[in-house]
Amino acid sequence: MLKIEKLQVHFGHVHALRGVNLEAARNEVLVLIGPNGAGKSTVLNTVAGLNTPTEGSVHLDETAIGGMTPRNVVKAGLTLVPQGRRLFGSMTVRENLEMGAYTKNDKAKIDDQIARWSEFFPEIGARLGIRASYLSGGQQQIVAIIRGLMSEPRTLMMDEPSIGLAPVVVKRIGVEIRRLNREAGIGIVLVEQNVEFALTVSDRVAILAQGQVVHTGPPRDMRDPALLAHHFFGSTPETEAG
Amino acid sequence: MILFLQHALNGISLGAVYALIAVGITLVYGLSRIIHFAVGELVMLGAYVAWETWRLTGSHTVGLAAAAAVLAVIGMITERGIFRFTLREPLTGFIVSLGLIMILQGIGIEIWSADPRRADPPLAGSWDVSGLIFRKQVAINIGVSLLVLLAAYAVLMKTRYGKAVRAVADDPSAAALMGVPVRFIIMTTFIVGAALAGVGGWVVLTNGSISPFVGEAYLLRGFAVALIGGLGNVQGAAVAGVGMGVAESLAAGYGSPGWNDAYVFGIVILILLWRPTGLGRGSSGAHL
Repeated sequence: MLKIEKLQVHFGHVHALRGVNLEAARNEVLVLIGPNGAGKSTVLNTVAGLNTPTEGSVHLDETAIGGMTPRNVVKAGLTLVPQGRRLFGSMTVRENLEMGAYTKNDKAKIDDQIARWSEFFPEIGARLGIRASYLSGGQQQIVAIIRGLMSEPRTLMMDEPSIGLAPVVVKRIGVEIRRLNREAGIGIVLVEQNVEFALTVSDRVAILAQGQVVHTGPPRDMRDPALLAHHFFGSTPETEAG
Repeated sequence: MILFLQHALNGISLGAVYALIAVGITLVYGLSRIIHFAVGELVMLGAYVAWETWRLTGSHTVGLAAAAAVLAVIGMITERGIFRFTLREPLTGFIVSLGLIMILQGIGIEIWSADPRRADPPLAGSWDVSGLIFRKQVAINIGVSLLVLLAAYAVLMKTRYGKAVRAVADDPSAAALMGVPVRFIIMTTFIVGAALAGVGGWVVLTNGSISPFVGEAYLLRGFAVALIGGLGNVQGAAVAGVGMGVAESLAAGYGSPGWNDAYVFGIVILILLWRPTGLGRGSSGAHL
């Protein structure tokens, strides 16, 4: 269980997060949506330890991880797959995966994990010795997700895993994400702009606007244009029309 | 032909020092984006540490170890005391390193005076291979430099630490998200870079005389080599270093020695005009 309470973040004079409250259980895929600049990525980056919160708390199960270094957050069992994949382009796919397990020291186990994922994703397994920058966008996204899984997190956060990918690849990633949650029991929190993708992959959605969670509910809420328009544009279609 | 080989050989021994320095420059730049101009002064300090140790113990082997070890400590002190505060503004780090040149040179003059010093060569004599004169000391220097460079390369490519260094060079935030202690890894590059400069200093000492101003020439060449190799590219720096040494030696041998620097830096400028990011894979994207 990931529990975020009254989380506030300032960047200089910019008040980016204004008291975010959010809970995500291990047995669900939670998708965070919202307009540009709402602070979705800031939530994930802060939970992962890249930003320092000015106020509020973050708990992963019983551990208070708010304000920890990224390294300690990973050790506590939470890993972020960053936006835009951010693979180590000059390193091989295998080396990228090894970096994912940087907090682990068991070489045999790491090799074992890589072998297991290679079976699971044969097209990645066939390219372990290739520079990560030579892979296609979809393959890179899969490597980025596996790299995140190499630290054996209890909760995995992903920042826009669908970005820049072909629809068929997006579909596949969605299937894999749900499978990770259902079969491997890894809690998933992801940020998405692609509403259609968010709808198919999520168990629950949270809408973030102007640095606060303004709505949580089942995915079907995103079929409600009035609700979306209200939170994305600060108005309803009716008032727009009127 | 013999003469050509002779010059080339001398060039390799010169270039080995450039390569040592350039690898340090390129490592520090690749991770911290700081252009560390005081690296020539680190070479100078390494040379004096080796000289003092040789005077005390009479051993060049101990001198080599001491130069590397003392400079590693100096590298750590400069990072902890100064450069870590400039990581957000690498340009500040560059200005600071310019100031360090003055300070370290001043310290050098204060302790050792401006008079040149020299040590007895560790290994006198030379081999004569059908007219090719090969000073034994040069063989040692090339061997030591090559071993150190190969060791550095092996560590970078094969070890967990080396992979972390490359990951931080590629993408510091992503590395942090994998649990890499980024700041610590950056600190180690200052230590390794300084230790490499220390080894370079030992080679300079065993090749001839040293003075508090000896760093200057190596600084310029070290940077030129790092640029040609592609800033942030370790293999590029090593290869370009040897190339630079050979080019310089040939220019001195066949051209007029007074114009030596002009020839060499003329070539450097042409190469950089042709390929602004160097001949190797430069700092855009992949850094190592």
